Amino acid sequence: MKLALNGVTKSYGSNLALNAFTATLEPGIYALLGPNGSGKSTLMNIITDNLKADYGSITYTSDEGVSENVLKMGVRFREKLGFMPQYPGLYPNFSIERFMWYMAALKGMTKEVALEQIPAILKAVELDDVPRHKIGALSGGMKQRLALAQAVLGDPEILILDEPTAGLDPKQRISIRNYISRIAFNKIVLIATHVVPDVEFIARDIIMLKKGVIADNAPPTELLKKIEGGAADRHARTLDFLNGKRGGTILPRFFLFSCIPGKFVA
Amino acid sequence: MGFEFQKCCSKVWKPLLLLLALNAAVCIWVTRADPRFLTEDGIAEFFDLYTKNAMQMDEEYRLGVSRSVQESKYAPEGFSDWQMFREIYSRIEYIEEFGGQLQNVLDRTQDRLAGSSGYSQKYYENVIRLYGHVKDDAVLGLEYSRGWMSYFSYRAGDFLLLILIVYLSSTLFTHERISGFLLILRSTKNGRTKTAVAKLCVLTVMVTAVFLLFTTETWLIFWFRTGFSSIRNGIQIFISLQLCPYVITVGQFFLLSIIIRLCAFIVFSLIASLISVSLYHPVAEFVANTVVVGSSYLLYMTRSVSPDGLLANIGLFPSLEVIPLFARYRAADFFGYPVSYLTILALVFILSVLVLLSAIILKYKIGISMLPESWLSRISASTGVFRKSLEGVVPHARYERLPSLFAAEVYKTLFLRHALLCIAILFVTKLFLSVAAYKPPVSYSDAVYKEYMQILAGEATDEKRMYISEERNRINETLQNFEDLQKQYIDGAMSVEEYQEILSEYNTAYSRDIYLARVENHLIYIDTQKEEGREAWFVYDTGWNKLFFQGYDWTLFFALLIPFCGAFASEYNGTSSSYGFAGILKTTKNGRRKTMTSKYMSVVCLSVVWIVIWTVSDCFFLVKAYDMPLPSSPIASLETMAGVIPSLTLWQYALLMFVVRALVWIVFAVLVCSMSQILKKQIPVLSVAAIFTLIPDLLIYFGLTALRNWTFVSLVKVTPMLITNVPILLYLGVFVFVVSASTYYAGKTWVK
Ligand SMILES: Nc1ncnc2c1ncn2[C@@H]1O[C@H](COP(=O)(O)OP(=O)(O)OP(=O)(O)O)[C@@H](O)[C@H]1O
Ligand SMILES: [Mg+2]
Repeated sequence: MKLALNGVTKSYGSNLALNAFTATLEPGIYALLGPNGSGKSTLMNIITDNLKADYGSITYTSDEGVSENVLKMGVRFREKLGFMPQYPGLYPNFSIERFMWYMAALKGMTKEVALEQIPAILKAVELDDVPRHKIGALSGGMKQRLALAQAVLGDPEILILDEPTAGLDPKQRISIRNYISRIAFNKIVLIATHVVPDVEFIARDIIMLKKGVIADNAPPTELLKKIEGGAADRHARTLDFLNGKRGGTILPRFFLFSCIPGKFVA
Repeated sequence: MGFEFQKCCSKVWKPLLLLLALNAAVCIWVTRADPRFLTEDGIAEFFDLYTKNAMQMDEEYRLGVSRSVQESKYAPEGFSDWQMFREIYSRIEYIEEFGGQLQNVLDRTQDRLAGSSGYSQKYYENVIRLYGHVKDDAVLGLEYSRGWMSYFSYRAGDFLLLILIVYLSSTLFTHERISGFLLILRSTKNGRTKTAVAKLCVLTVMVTAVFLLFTTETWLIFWFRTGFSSIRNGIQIFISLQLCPYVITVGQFFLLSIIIRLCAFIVFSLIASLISVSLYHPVAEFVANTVVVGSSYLLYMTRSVSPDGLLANIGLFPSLEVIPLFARYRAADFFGYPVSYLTILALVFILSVLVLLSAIILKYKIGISMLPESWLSRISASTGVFRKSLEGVVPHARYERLPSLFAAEVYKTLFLRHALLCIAILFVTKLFLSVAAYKPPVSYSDAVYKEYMQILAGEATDEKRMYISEERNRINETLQNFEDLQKQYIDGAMSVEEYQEILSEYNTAYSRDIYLARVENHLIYIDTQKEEGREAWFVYDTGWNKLFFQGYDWTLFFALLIPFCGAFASEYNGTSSSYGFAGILKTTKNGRRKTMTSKYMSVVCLSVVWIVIWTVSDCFFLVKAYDMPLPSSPIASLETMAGVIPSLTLWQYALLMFVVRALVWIVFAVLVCSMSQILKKQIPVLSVAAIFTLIPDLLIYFGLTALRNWTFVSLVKVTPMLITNVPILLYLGVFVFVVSASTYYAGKTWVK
């Protein structure tokens, strides 16, 4: 299974949001790292066909080796897809359970599978104690976790998560990170984020995006090495920016996060 | 402030341009020249000519040179001078009689003044003073006064402006709330009072600007197309303002009208804003504003009952029309002093501006809860409490159903978009209206008619003919003999009791005479129908006529429009997101095509349910009030329906009508649904649908009577179209085609 993005370009008027984005995604977690406005959400909306790219194509290659344009695949591609938008609009009047079951219907799951998955997923995102609550009455973090829950429902092969940990408390952040890494087996998972520790230990590759251009694409360890060596000022500066620092070294804060206890599954 | 202004402008200019274009179109249409009449320019030229050498032309007319209908020395091809002179002389006559008319008024008032005291004395004094001034000072010059009246009575622009103002205030207050920006704004330092004031300033400036734009546009078009007569003439030159109690010229009146109308629009915009900040729900606002406009129109309509009533003469519509305000001197009793309605209007204006302003600012500052839920959600929250307490009693199993997409759409429509609540409100309204519209007839006339028709009910047999002629003889006899009998009574040859009996007999006969005549006419009608090979019976048809000529059902229109306008649109605008739920929905397997199909299915099914409920309620009221006898009699039994599909019986036609109407409504609901996807926002859908259904009727209202039965409204009514031989199937076909095309387009943009 492979997802190849080839020269994906999108501009809003004269503002080039994404410039010839090219990458090949294979099973594993990919982190999309970049400052605000670098085009992360734009890329994700294009992959999920919520937005039309100006140029470029996205090709899906199945395990059998058949390659096909995802736009041509349509439904056959979407049934492999789980998407969590950055600002999901959820129906405020639906209860959590009703919403999950509705999503199951939308994803064309059978009742048996849904019955098996829904309670498990709700447990994993720790929403199982309030299944009858109306979505409108949930806290921001709870809504965020529900949005993640609907994305992973149906065991999709391709998971697109736009800032899944935004607005979560440190404990939830870790448990969600662990959950994602647990279910990521044999899936292509693309996570947009600003927070390096969220993906540092679970991502196989970090794609650095800046102003719509790929600034670097490397495994986290390599990236860290570059920073430690001070070889690539560029990355350090990017990361500084991401962590809200103007100058100085980034490392202390980096390690602070990594020291938070928790079970990391690589 | 500048910021508010920018925000507002950027959102408003598109609808503004659209409505300006519409206004221009309607204006141009209204001012079209009718070839059957003389052109305005032609008459005006003739007036000029006449004023220059009046003596000579009077002489010509007197000698009959220009009098014959064929003669056209001055008139253009196809018209006679006689018509021209008639124009002139009628105007001269009007001006000459003007003083006399006023003198009449003054004399009459003088008479009444003599025997009056207190308020009425002061009132009459005022009348005499004002009209005395007018009589002395008003100058009416002879000219062909043109343009102004048609300009002042042009109404379509006002409706467009009202729509625009609702949109304006809604953008200023509601959109912010929906987008969640309000929460941020209200917590900033300048967030509350100052923003509210800034918004209100922007609103006033925008309303003024937009109003002036519309006025200028309308005025210019009228000027180009019809031209305007002098602005220096007295306003009394126009017959509808003959009794205007003030000495003002046309030009002054024009300026006054601008000011008054602007004030009216500003007050309305404040009302709309108050509604905005109170409801914070676009659809609810739309309904509330419609109610405001509708009720002020109803108030205005009460002038047919009491022409001088205070409520009928001040308010939104009189102020927009201006002419009613100046038509004559009207005053109200204020502690014994007459206060003219104009003064009251000014006071009401100032007061309502103050009250509304403070109400809006207060409401904006403290009134609303911080949660991004509207009052509608609060209502459903209170029902939620009830549900929860129920759940406490009855333990619920976990929700473990895989809903069909169709059921989910129905659920979304009913509960998420509050359709249930909306339908309940509309249906209650409908019931109230029906109770009023289908009152059992209490009139004596209908009772007599009903009695005859019940006796005769069915085919016209010989016995029935006999009965009619016997009845005719009886009535005629009674009527003829009455004079003799009366004479006998006067001569004293009859007792009072006897006379009274005869009198009541006479009265019965006298009143029955007309209705028997109607029955006789129906018999003649039956015979002529027979000659044409159609069968017609005697049927008590009051109820049937009511059924077949039912008015346009506004409640059903809104019942289909309001719940379905969000079918797609609500997926796009979630409370705090850029994509709404559509972002997730569209990435699921069944989120596109299947969801779309179930959306359309749910719209169709729900509209069928609404239509059935509405129809059943109609039928119930009709049967209750009018019995609806003999449903199996042939359709031609109704004189109004002669020649319409003669092979049908009454109930078959009723069924056919219901089916066609239901079909039209369903197609309309589908159209609303498609618009919802194409426009992606509720308010534009509401506006487009309202315009779509109303524009043809507005056009007719302004003169395009030839197309009276070519509108959506008459398509819904069915019968008018059939009677006037409009090719209903063709029309229906075009309608269905348009809707299918837009549905196809909507489907494409949703599925992509
Ligand atoms: N609807 C839109 N119209 C115009 N420009 C847009 C639109 N959406 C995004 N942009 C522009 O595209 C660029 C990329 O935006 P995008 O939302 O993809 O950034 P992002 O990386 O997701 O940022 P963030 O970290 O803030 O979520 C930005 O410069 C933004 O201004
Ligand atoms: Mg983003």
